[in-house]
Amino acid sequence: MFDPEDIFSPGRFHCPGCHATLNKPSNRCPHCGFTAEKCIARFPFEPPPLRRLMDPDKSLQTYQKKRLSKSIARLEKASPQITVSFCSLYLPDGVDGRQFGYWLLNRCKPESGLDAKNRLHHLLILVDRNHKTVSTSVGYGLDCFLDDMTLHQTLQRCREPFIHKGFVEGSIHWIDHIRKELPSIHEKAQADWKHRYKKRHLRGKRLDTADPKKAQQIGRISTPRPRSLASNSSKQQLDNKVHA
Amino acid sequence: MKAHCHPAIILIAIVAGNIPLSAKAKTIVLDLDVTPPAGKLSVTQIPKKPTAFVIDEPAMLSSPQKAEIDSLLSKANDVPTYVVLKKGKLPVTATLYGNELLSRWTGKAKGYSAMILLTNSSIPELFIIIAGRRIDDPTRNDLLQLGTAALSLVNGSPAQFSEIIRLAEGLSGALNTFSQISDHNASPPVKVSGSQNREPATYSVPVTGTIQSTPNKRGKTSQWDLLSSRLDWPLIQKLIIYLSAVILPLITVLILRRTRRHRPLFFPIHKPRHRFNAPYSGGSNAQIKYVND
Repeated sequence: MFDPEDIFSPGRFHCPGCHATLNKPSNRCPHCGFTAEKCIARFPFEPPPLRRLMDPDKSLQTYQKKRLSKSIARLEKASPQITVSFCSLYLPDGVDGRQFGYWLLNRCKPESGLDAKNRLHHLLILVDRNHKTVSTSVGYGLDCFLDDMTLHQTLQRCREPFIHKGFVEGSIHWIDHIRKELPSIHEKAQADWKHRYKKRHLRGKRLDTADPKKAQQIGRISTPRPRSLASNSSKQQLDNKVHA
Repeated sequence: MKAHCHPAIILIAIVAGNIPLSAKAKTIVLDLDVTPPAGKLSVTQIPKKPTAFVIDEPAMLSSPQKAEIDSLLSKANDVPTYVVLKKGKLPVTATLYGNELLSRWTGKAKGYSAMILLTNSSIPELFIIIAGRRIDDPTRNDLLQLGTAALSLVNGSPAQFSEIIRLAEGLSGALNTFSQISDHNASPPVKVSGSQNREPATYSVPVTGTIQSTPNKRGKTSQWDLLSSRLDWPLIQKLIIYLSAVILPLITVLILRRTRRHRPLFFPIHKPRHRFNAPYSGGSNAQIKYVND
């Protein structure tokens, strides 16, 4: 399997605690010392299961739920790898939506092994009705494509519907916007993948002529095709190693 | 009625001689539709049964000429014959129209009826429509051969209307004989006499496409017949070909594009960039406020 840095242009990371930009993935934020343990300690309760629509305060009308569900279903149909959750909450003062989203996405127990696999391609939209904020979080499987910058830019573009039509309509608009953006993102990802793969393949060939032993090692490492293309028909054939 | 002086056939020559026909007006269609169609033309499109045998809408005949033709036609009791000069465009094809007029005016009582219909449209055409009933196939074929012979002769030498008169005499003989057979319920057809023998080569002309030779199979005129007679089929064919050539590929391309655009997207799988010991997500910094500050 390729490392993301081998294939895609590496995106920057942000600390969920202090939102500082990090250049390297690490287990502890060098700025604020944020760790997973600290986050768990901050929200010491069991989260609900991750559903498509999460509305613990019953703030959504039935027709709004229907519309949201329909919009999410369309996005999931366009890209069957992706699963989407919409969560509307009233977070207390001092709690940031981004950090809560990070906690929710990681802390919710998957219902099955398949659910755990799909969690890597999960997209969470979290609406904090107290602070009037909308934040989005994605799993590791998507953060190369829907990185922080892309998500933030799309949210900014859809800010007007959020302001004028409310968070439900705004979220629907944003989901539709992402769905329309997905083909170009996907196309870019495929092109990047092919480019990097060819590059590596050629390098392997060159080494093959120079040193057969080294080339043999590279041959073992190299992947013949993008796994997504080989397993388009089923989500079950997604990478197992990731979830091991 | 004498075999050689059937007034309807004589009138062909009279009318053709009297009416100034243009160069395009030399087509004579002999329609031997023995089952006149009970068409669905509206009442306004079919004139009532006239008292006279001559209807001259464009006033092309003078009064003495009309009187002469009418007196000739009034003597033909066995085979009612009308001379109809129509002004303007017909609502349907001339053969359909003529058959419709004959069926309404003469009814089923008469064994045979005939009409000389001249359309005064931009392309004038002369139609001789003879409607006959209870005609068996050999007899009808004889009539068709006579009509074809007349047609080919007129087409070949349009100025020689004397030839038409000569053939018309033969045709009149045939019609008269058929009329007599019909009156006496005689089934076998009669070979055409005298005039046919004089021109054996002319009568051997094969039946052409201009003569409608499948009358009994048609039955009643449907609404589709009337509609299709008004349609410009060559133009429709051209349009269909054009649409097939231009629009169908366009539609195909659009469908293919749409299919391509709506195909499911699968992103490449890569090694997750784990951070903060989180199993599924490393968090995100994408957040906006949805109220104006």
